[in-house]
Amino acid sequence: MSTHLLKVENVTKVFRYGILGFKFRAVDDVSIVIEDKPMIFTIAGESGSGKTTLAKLILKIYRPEQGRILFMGRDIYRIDDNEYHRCIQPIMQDPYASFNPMQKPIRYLRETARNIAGIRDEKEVEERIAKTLSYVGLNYVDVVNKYPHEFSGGELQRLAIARALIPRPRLIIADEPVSMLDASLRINIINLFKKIKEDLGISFIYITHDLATAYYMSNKIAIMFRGTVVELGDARKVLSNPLHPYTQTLIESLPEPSPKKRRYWMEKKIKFSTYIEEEEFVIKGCKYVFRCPYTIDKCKHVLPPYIKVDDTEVRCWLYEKK
Amino acid sequence: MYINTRIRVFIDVLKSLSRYGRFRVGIAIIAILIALSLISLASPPRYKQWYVYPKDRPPQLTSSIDMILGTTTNGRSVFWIMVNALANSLCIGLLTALIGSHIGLLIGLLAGISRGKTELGFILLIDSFVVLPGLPILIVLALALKQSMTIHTIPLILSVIAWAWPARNVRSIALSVMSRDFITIASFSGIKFRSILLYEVMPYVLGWHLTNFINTIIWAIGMETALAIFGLSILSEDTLGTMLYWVLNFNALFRGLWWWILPPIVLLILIFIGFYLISVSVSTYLNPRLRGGVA
Amino acid sequence: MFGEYVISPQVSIKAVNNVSIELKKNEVIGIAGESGCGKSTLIKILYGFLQPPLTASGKVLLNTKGGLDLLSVSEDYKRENIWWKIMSYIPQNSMNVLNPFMKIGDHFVELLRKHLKIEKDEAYRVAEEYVMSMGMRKDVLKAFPHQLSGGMRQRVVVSLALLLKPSIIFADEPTTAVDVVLQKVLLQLLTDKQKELGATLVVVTHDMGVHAMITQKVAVMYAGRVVEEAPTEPLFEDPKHPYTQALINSLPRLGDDRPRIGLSGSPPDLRNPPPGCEFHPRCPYAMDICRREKPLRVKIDKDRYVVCWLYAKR
Repeated sequence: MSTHLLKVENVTKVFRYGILGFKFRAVDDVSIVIEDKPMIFTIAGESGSGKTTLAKLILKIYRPEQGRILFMGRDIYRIDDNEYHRCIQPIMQDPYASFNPMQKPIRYLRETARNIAGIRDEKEVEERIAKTLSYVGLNYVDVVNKYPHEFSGGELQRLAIARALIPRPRLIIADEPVSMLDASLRINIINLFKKIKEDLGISFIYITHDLATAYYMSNKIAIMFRGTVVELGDARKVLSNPLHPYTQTLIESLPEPSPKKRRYWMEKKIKFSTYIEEEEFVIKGCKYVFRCPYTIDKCKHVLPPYIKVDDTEVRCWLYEKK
Repeated sequence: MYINTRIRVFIDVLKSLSRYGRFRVGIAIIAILIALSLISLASPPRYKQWYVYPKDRPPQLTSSIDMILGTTTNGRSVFWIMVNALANSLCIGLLTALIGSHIGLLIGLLAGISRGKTELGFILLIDSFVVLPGLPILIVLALALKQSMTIHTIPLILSVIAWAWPARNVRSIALSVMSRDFITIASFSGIKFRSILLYEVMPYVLGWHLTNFINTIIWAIGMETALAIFGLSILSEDTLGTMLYWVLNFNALFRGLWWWILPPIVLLILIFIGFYLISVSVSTYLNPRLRGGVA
Repeated sequence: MFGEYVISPQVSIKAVNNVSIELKKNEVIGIAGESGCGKSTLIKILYGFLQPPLTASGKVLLNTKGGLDLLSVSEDYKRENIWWKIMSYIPQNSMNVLNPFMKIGDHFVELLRKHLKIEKDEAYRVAEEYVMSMGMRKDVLKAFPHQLSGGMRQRVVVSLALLLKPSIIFADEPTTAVDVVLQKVLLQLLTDKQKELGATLVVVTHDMGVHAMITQKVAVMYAGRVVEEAPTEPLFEDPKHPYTQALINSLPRLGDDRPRIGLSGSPPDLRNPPPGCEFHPRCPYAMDICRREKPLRVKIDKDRYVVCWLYAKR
């Protein structure tokens, strides 16, 4: 059997601005591999980097124009939807939008247990739901008769996690799952992810722009910029020793909750350039040229390949082996 | 149990709607009009015949209500004509709304969920009917089908045009609901596409369907009146439109027969105001942004 | 001061409850807290921007105007004499506040003409010079808002707020919708200009990282009250209030993967707040008195206050 849980091979997704607008590659020739062992794989990047589009490609919500996505060695478009949903489940960004406001959330848990987990017996359905709910820290009795507006954001996100857990998937795709939650509640959800990974052996693709939580929880990380993966490797290594100029700027700009680092943070000025977003999307070479302090002529014309430095792969001509 | 909760939801909606003064006024107007139109069931068979009463008489109180609104130049009772016309016009409006807005709902939903070439086809179809000028087409249709027209076939003709606006509206609602996160969650819960449509999308569409329905009633009554004034409605039957046609034809305006002119005009205005108030309060209720207050 | 949202005559939300705050010259003050804790409402009141359903009681005294109470003067007076000139306000989602039908230049010219009473051509020249001093190209003035990137638009809004050299600048979550790189650029711009003008900058954000990087003093709010007030450095080193402790200690940091524990429960419903200290249902140190009585403000150190029974002298 394959040793890869999920393999994204040279995937490209093209979007258009408006009906007659210009075309741009929201996801441009992205390849990532998630090995078949419990891990949290972070995809980090700013808004417009294509990270959510990539998640939707893996979830079969969008279909890629080029490339293919393999799950356990099989093309995901050859796998029946129901079977695929048994292996991969999503958690969305906005807990309030994840459930239909006119329906009780418990309905989605029941349907998941019946249709995806394939439990026939109604008593077993309720048992599985109660067990999963208590695992994520909720009480079956408190949940069963409520509508979404009667829950807090944190509770709804736990419900969404419980729903995703019911079929015991192999992989959960969490798209900014804590960015809409209050600061004091975030860490609880993140700890829950870590616990799920360790107890149940479920892998996560964690999509975020928050590098601090990425460092806290993830094993591997891919940094995306304007549709391309610019750096990919072990999360600790990438975040403590960033190679790509973009990753370096990202980490330098991160405000840290320790006033002692203020001087360093204040002194590292960032040049504010008047780059144009559209140009960054359509340029042939490296998409970071307009902002990069190390730009050379080659960067403007040729997109750098993945270059291996230690175990980290980085797409930057700076690391080209002479 | 299921039906019970649905009824409760319906009653709740009515309760919260009835908090709007506009809604209460609208409902009251429409209730009065419907009551008036129900009187037509009691109309004496002679009301259709000419010269039963003396002609051109102003309103007068007699022992029967026949003369209460006076008589026409053909010696018919204006009161009986009015209640029958009202019933027929409401019937035309209602039938058109039933046919047109439901065709609109169906086509709008199909357009909302289809993708690619089919979607483009639907957009082309809906938009061309939206931009086509309605009245000239209806005039042509009415001319062609004049022989076979009855109270029940006029709504069919009107529906040819009436479905397009509701379809367009339903499509945009369906599109926006289909792109929401909870639809993704529903499909990842293994809920079948048909039930997603029925239980996740429909509740959102139905509210707008109701406003579409009411708006189509208004539109249809107005359109029938317009056709009638051109003499293209069924002139042998009484509708608010044909009433106006005969008023114009007999120069009632210049001869000062105000009691023949006023009833259809007042009733049309009341119909428009009544349904308009209901439609506005329903869409205010449906759109939280218009509802105001702290959300 | 108090601030209330009246939703219907029967229900009102006390979003800001008995808050006193002092803004000194040449200082960066942070207001921290989660969504719904009343921090945005607080600065709306400080700015004197009261629109229904928001009502306020108490006093906002302005020293530069000889102790004028902002809450007692008319909106027209504030518009003429205070807003933009003495106080300016950078709203949330500031990239979407520019009028889409007006060129950027017209935004500047309108403000300059209204407050400096100068001719259009001169105003435009002043605007050009000013925009360049803010590090932008002067042809930005000829663009419509939609032609600029989100970052540029935000920079324009910040520039507009600083145009008339106000002595107090309020920034309500100025950087929530932008990525970290742009966030840093904007925060650096704001603090540089604040120092240049010797102004007071009030930054409202839930991001404790931002507070640590730019503020000198932080007020932490919970359920409409300021629960702790302290200079930034001691606050982060040794947070006193259990809520502040949880806020700071639960934050993951780069290069540190020790397990962190968050708070349980969720913020209270302000329509029906719990009795006693609002925080007691979530507090790990809750005592009997916390459930019954509201804690008082205790002075712990110079400029350090905490509202918690743990520190009350009895």
